[in-house]
Amino acid sequence: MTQTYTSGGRDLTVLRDVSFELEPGGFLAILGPSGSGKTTLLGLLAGLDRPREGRVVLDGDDLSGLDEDARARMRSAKVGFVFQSFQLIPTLTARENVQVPLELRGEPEAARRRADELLARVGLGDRGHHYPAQLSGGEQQRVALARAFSHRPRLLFADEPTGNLDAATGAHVIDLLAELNRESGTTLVLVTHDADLARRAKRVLRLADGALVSDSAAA
Amino acid sequence: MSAAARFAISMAWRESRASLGRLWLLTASVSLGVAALVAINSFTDDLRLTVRDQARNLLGADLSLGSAARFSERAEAELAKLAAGAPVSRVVRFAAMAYAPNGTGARLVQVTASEGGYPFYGTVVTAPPEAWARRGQEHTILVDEALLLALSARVGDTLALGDARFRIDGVVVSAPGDVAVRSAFGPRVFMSTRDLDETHLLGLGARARYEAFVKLPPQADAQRLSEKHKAVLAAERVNLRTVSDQGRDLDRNLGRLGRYLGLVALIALLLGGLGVASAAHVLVKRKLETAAVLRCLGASGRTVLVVYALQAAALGAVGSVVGAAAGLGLQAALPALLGDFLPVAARSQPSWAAAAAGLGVGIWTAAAFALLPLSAMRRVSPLVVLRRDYEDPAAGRDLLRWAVAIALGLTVLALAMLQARNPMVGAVFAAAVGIVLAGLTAAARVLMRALRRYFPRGWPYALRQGVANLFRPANQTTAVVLALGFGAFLLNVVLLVQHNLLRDLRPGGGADKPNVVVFDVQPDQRGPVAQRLQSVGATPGDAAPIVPMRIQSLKGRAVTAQLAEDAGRPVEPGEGNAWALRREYRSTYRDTVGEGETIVAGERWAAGYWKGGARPDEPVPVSVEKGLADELEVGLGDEIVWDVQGVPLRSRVAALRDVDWARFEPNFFVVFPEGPLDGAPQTYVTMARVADAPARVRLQREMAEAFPNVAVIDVTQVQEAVEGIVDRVSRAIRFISLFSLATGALVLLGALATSRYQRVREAVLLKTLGATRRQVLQIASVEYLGLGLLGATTALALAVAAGWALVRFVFEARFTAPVIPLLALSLSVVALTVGVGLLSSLDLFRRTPLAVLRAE
Repeated sequence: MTQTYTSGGRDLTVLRDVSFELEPGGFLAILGPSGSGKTTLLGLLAGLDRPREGRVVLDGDDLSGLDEDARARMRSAKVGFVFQSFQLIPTLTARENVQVPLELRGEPEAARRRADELLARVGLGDRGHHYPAQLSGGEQQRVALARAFSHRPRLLFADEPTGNLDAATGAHVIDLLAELNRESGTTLVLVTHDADLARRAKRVLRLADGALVSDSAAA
Repeated sequence: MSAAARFAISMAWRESRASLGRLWLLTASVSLGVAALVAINSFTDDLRLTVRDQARNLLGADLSLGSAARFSERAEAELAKLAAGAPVSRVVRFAAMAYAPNGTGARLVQVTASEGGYPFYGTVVTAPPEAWARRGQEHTILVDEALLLALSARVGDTLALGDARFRIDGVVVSAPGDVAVRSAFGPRVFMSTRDLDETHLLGLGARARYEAFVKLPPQADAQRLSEKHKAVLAAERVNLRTVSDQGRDLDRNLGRLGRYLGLVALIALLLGGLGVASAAHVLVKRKLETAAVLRCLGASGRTVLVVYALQAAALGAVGSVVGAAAGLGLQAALPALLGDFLPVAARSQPSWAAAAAGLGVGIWTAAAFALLPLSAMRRVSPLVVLRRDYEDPAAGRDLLRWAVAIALGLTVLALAMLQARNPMVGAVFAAAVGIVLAGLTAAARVLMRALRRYFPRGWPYALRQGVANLFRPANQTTAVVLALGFGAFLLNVVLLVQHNLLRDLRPGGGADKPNVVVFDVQPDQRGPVAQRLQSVGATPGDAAPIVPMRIQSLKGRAVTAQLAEDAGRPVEPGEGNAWALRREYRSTYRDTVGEGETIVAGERWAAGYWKGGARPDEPVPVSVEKGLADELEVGLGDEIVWDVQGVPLRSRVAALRDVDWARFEPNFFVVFPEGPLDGAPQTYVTMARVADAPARVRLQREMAEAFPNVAVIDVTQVQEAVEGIVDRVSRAIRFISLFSLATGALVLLGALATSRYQRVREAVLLKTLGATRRQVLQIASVEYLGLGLLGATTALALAVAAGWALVRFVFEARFTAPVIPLLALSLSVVALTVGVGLLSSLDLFRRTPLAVLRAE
């Protein structure tokens, strides 16, 4: 894949000929410094954006061939997210935030059940009625974890999930993420600039200046 | 229900817990417009229902016949046939001078002389109650309370009317179908027709209306009788009306009054719509990330749009419900504003139809205006989650946006047309609204661009920062200028039109302008009347002769035939020229062109123009007023034969004249040259200037005593009456316009509330950096002052243009602008803006930086 953005009238290539395959059930870390193109890569993998050249094939479906709404349906069916800045919807309570993915699928009953289950699992069983603003950063990210797993995605993207947390809280969140991933057999893609964090993954892709510089699986 | 729809509804519901509270101001701006609209429309519905219920009472009979002259023998015969023994009551109405020999002054009064059972339906309320039944017994008479005040008389005193003397037996409180505002032109006097002759007031040249009222037996079909006798009566210049004619005319007039006031109310609603649009715009900005998260989690663009559109619709619905309820309450206030113009008392019964319509219109307007900015929500890229400032390069033209914009335009057009019930008026109104909105928007944009371009770098810091705030990102300048500006525009236009209509009526304006008009002077009274005028220090102007006449035939066709034919087919009001054919003309003859006149076509004649005609049958040249010529469909060279007190006189249209009717002086539809009418029966009208008011009162009284048939009109009194009426109309329009201004203030408050977060941060930041509270206050003041000035000046400029067009082309008058009132109004708008702005930012100045930082 190659991705180019036009900014200020000039083309800016942020990803150059990146190509790899991912097996189901794995834990992949994409490691690279700021500006290496890792967030862009994540956006492409999750179908948030379309590559200028190349394609993303998920479960045999070519994402580049799908329109925006079809990709949204695909995400609703198969993809979960955890973001650096949590991205909980501020006007919804913790429980409602966790319910969103399943409700989008039209399964409100399951959404409620699953939300209770997952909130308990991340240790926030009694905080479901709280709004994001009433939760600490770590708590918010745990709610985000619950949300990410609520609809049992096949593929989970985590974008610097500990970036906004202190070391201890971050470690706790990562442990939780790894446990949940193991339990549900999800394929986890972690994007980070933290090499220590990346070490926990089965496979690490290193990015620099938009190009793939190493792949631990290939080594 | 689909999963997406269910999700959208529950999501909208959960989200609205937070936003509804914050957007209540914008809900209120919808409410104001809906309230004004519902109040006006419900009030009108109520009135029309009342009129329909009371149509028979308003006419006072089953059939009424009216004519500008005594009924001819043929008319009398037709009336007898029509009535077939049913009770008939006669009424004569005319104006005359009245005075109380024991009191002071004299007043022109409107006399209603009646006999028989009139009114057959409805009651004349008098004090004492039995006075109506015994009017006429032993020369008794009933008067308006206002006359007693004007003449310093009391019940029981003597009243002089013409040559007769009456005893005032009581006062009339109300008469059916009477419009209170009419009495401004002269208090009413009710007498018996039996005493008419004694007054000697109905001689030559007297303007009187002769009427007959018929009470039909219950089984009679008034409409059928009307059809049967209408034509013959019309040919005799008698107008026949049934209860349903009366009801229909009143209904139509009230409907029109209501609809036009409703159009003004509609503006408030449209401004409310702007408020909603600006709120939706802010909502989009604030909810961008939430929308992107939803997209990431797999929501489709449409689902996201629906989530927010539902919230907007909910806002609109809440606002509309509140507005409709408030409108029904407000309805009770309208009779106080309009009561004097209404023939019936409003019962203040709510019209559920009007409320429901207002509700629907409110919701629709809110939804349509909200959808324009909200349509962007559909295209929020999920990438925004990863990069806050991401802008979709593919986001170009959005068909939905265009569709919404077009739907919005059509909505405004449709609303205007529906409210006006006249596609043309509606379209013109919608276009005018569009032009004003475009003007205000352009002004706001130009100013913002100019400020950015020629930024006043040399100014002190507080000024610069305040000015810069006008075009900061996500500013509300355009929305506020539109909303405030439109309210100010309306008020300005009302002020301008009112000023221009009243200006020429003001006799005090020119110190030498005549302020007394003396009518109905008989030829032998000319000398004595002039002497009497001189005795109070007045210099009487030239007396103009008045010769009463009617049209006998037009372009070779007898008018009676034309009238009979017109009566046979239904004529829409405003169409047809029956009144012009039927009426009595008071023509004059002179060889000069009057001051307020211009010849627009044909000949001008000088003294001695008419030499008696080369042949005895040569038609006399006449000059006809332009509007009348259009009405009669005559042009230069066409023949009109006049019936001058029974003598036929042939004439040809030799000139067309423009007449400035707004001038307070005798104006004429038809002017003859001197010569042909010299010997015709005539009266004179003359004008004079009597400087002080007591002298005018004395003159009126002396003239009334010395020449009972002569009417002396104090122009200042008429002027006051006209001013009173125009003032009342303006007050009603202004009242409704205030809703627009209030909506503007709400939009301003809403705009400030939505940018509050940003403002608080700025203020705190400034304070942290060392700004004093005074400086923060200065910055805010400069910003609001800028907004207010921009809105007010643009509104003023547009209003002057609109006012000029209205005055020039609709009212056909000279245009001048009342500088001081306009400036005062504009300054009030600026003061309102600054006041509302500062008031809503009070705690911005009070808060300490630390408190705000903690709260974050």
